[in-house]
Amino acid sequence: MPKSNNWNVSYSAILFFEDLLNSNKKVLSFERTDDIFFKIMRKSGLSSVNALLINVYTVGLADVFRAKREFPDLDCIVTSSIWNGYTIEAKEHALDSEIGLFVVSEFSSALRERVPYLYVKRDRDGNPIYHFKSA
Amino acid sequence: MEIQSITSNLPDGAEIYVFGSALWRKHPNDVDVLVVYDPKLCPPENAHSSIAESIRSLADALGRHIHLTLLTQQEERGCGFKLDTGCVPLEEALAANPALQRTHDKVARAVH
Repeated sequence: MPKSNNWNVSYSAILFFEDLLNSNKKVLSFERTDDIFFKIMRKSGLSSVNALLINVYTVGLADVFRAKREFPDLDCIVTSSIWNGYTIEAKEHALDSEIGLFVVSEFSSALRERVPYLYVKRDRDGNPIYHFKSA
Repeated sequence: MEIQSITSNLPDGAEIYVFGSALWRKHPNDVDVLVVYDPKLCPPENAHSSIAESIRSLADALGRHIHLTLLTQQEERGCGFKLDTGCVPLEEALAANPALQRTHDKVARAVH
């Protein structure tokens, strides 16, 4: 098992992500290929989800284009550290491409949705909460 | 490999910065690098491939893995990345951290 890959994801981050999938009640099983690409089968008639785990402090437009090129079957991009985030431009471009761009905690909730890429975390008043932030 | 030749191989309008522990640690595991580019001169869909060679050369020159953040000028302004992280231009970072500078000098001597 390589310690890392060309998206800077450490093995410990991969293990953490696998633990998260194993503990998610909507996840039936998953397969990992290319070190960081997960095909996730879900319960309750929900569709499978192809997720790419990356480690980028602030995911930008260029990262979304690169991810789409390297993994054409992509449904969601997940940036691994709790400190990570994404730019508004990257989030909007991902949505236009019908791809979810999430931090790990968002993705965990998105897996419960029928259409995961559309998931938006909301506060008590229903306002959307995004992880638009830098390192 | 001279750092200057690495930066000059970046797309027009692109700037390269260092942030994080490489600015002060003697032996950082990797070097956190920000590249800010002009999407009019370097389309975002090509940005990674346009800077890949420069980033590989920088990693070779420093002898360390590069952890890259790649943002358009507008994205950088929008999230205030430089301000939040205290980014400094690459050449200033090399001057500020003697450990990185030693690596840089050693590589330069080996090449010339």
